[in-house]
Amino acid sequence: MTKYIIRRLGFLALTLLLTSLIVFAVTQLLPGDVARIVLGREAGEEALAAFRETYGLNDPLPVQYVNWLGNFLSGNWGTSISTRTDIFPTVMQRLRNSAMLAVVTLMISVPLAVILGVIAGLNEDKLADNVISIASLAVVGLPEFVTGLVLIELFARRLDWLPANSSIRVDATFAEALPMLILPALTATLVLLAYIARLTRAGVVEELKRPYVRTAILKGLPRRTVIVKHVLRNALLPTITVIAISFGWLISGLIVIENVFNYPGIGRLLVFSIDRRDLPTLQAVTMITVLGFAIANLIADLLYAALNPRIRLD
Amino acid sequence: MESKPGLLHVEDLTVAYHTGAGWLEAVRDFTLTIAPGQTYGLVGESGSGKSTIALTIMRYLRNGRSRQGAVWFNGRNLLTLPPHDMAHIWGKEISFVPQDPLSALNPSLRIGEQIAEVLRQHLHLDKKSAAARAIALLDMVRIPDPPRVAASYPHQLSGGMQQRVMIAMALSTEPPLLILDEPTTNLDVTTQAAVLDLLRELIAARQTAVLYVTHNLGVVAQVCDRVAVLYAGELVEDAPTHALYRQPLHPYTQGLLDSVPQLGQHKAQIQLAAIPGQIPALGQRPTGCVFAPRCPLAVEICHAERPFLDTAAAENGRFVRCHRWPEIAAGEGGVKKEGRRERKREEGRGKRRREEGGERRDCCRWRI
Amino acid sequence: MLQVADLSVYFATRRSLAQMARGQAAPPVKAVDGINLEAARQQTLGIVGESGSGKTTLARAIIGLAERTAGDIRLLGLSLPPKLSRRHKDLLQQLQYVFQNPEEALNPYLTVGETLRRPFITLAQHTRAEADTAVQQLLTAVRLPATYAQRLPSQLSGGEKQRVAIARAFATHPDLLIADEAVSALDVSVQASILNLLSELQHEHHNTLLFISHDLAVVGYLADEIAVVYVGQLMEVAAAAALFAPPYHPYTEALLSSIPLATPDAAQQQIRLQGDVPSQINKPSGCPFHPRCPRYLGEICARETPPWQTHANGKRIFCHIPLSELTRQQAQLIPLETPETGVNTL
Repeated sequence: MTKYIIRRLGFLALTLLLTSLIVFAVTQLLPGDVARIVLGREAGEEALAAFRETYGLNDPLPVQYVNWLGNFLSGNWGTSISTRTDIFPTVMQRLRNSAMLAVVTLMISVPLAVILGVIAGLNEDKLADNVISIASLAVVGLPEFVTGLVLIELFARRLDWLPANSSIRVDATFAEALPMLILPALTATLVLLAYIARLTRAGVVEELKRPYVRTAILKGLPRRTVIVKHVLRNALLPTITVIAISFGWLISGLIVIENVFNYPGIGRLLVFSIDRRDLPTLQAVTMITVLGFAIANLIADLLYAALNPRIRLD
Repeated sequence: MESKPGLLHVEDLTVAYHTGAGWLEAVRDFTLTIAPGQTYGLVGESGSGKSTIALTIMRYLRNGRSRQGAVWFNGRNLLTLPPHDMAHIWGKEISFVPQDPLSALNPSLRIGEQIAEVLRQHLHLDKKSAAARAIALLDMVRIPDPPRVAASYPHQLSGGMQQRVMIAMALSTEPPLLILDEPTTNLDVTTQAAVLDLLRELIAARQTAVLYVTHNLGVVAQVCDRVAVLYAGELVEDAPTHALYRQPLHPYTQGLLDSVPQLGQHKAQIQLAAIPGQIPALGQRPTGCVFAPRCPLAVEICHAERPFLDTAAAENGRFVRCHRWPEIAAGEGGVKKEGRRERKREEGRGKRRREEGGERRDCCRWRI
Repeated sequence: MLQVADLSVYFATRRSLAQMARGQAAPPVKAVDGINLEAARQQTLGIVGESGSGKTTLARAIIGLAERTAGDIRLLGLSLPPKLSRRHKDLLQQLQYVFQNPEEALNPYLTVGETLRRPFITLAQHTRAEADTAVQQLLTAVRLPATYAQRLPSQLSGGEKQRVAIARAFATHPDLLIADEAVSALDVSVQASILNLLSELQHEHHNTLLFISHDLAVVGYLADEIAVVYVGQLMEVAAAAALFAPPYHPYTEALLSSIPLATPDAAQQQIRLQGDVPSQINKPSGCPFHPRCPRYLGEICARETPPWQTHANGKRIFCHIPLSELTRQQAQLIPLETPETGVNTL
């Protein structure tokens, strides 16, 4: 198992290195002169030259890359071109906000999806299964901005239970933010729900056909024991992996939802930095979302291995 | 409640599967009685319905239904028992050991727990004594280092060890009836031999009655007291093992015995007698005897009329479903049995010509 | 016809971190470990072994599906390139094979006729009409009606599919046919007809047959010479008639006494092996069978590679125990005069 973890960590490092190369290369390929963008149209040639010299823009590309990567790794992410503030604290704050939203989303969606999936799987092709499958598929087909707007209309305008706008202070505590998190989290839940539920259902249906289930039933075990202890233990393995991966997806994939609800998360920051041609921020946000995704994948794999004796013990 | 013979009495059982073409009978008019402590072999090829019968007795048939008959177990008809009551019979009164032990064990539960949960369920042992008993059971099936194996997962054991675990589990509640479905088919011969030794010993010590489902005539000869031979869902012959192997009365039984080479037999001396044709598909059963289209002895009546299960020898309980069994038993009346065909060796074996068509030559066991 | 000399097939395993740190190579899986075999024209060479014996890898190495690590394989005196892709078309014609599972061997979307026509057009460069005639002949040869050319594999029974697979193998008149567990998936009544077919076709085509199986009775029936393999090594090579009489290699002896005889009265000697087949990565030293050998002599078995001893009847045994000693200790396990199973006595 230790060997396995070390190997996976090695892969993670390799992934990140590759990403950093791509991110660096893409920003080099973008049209426009960084010094010109930073200093503005009126800056003189001298000022531009001095800027290039200060920021090492005249160095050969590999040197620039190594410097950039070194700075990135030591937390020195530079200054935002648009806001003139340090990038690192901004990104971290936004990351925290997105993580809060992701956690609330998972807390709502996972239990719901797993319960629905198990019910559907145990009643394969019966009424309950069909209702759950059709309903969840109907929802998953809708884009986030549609479901988001419908939810706002319903819960904020008509019922007035929850706020329509989630523009919390960037440093709001979790307790303060919670009421505003619920509607965006519900929107994200509707996206994830069908996916996780269908996967759970497939897992349950498949495991129910395995001979060990027959063995368990023919041992005379009560039905509940057969399902909870024997079937779910194996059926939920792939689900757990998917949940961990969805966490990574949530961190980066909330762009639309954060914008619909005006929520200050990493997705909003991404859109913002693209709008303003804020390359250093864009680089940082991209790197951090890739890191988040890679770590979520790693956790997914490790969880799967830890729960599956065939991998754990090899 | 009317009294029924034996521990298990399967009476006139017909089982059908639901397919696109309607209900198709996989087992027809099957009757069998197993006395306490008796080991019964149920022999047949694929498609003979042997597994269907085993699962019907266990009342665990998916998409199939018993259309007729009864399964009497200790005086109760299992087929009409409320489903809830089967849970008290499964694992307690009747245990089941399937063919492939690796897939039959839960991959993510430790071996010890998989055995212990049966003990807690049926013998109401507490957690600790169930775990201790599980280790003792592993020792009983001669697994080396039982505590270590109890803490292992199925994939860490060899096939032979996995099947020993299944046997330990099945016998843990000392059930009066054990149903084994090809339990050694996937094992190597040396492993199979050791598992069969173990089974024989454990069964004899406990006087457990056994229904042993297999296609292997050698295994049946070594393990069972009686044998029932199935063909296309019908019982064609039912006899004490010794009698059956000494003189099979049904042409299909004879055909089965002749199609397997015995150890030490060589093609230079003996031509194997294959049974021509193939088992009829479900729903395409011939009107007369089910075996008639492939039978070397079939005459007009065999194609026209379905034979009934006749008593061939009342004293030791021999039954056979064949119109011509009296002639076969007498070895006369037009049916003369030939020994396995001896090959004529000509000089230069490669020059041996085929004198007859293959299929015709395949069935030269009998001369009429 | 076929010569296998010092053949070894090792598969690489993944290195552990400790091995990487020490710069060591990972120990290979020794699936086939120094096997020597010879088969003459028209001869049937039987290979018998349990799971993990390397018998299938041996077949795959000869076919070219598994790359050999060392040794040489010669067909008709010519050395076969290790890789299938390097082999000449003529070689492919000379060497054909039939595997265990006919379901997987046939393309489910091609009719029997299309499947059988292929080798004629690709390998023998027949015209379409010539190929169709040849297909009809082939079907007749494997005792299938000519109308079967229009059928799809799904319309055939298991035995019929295996006949088609055999027909395809014989399409190019191979000098060597390799049959790996070719009858194991079939019902016994069908098995017999396939065995008969293989031996009849051999007489017509004069091909060498390499027949691989776990079933000693079936190998003993069909083969002229039999090689017993255990963890990738030969234990005993004997003519079929000689194999069933002492002296036996202790492993062969255990195999023979393990087979359940279809005669309830037979008093069979029970020789049982302890433990499991050893891993092919950490093979036992000396004689690979020594940890489980019921006739273990002592330290010599664990320390030294056994010699090949040759008996007067030509059988060769890989064992430290002298043949005379084996003969003295061992019982005749199989009745040589097979009693008729159904003698007419009432």
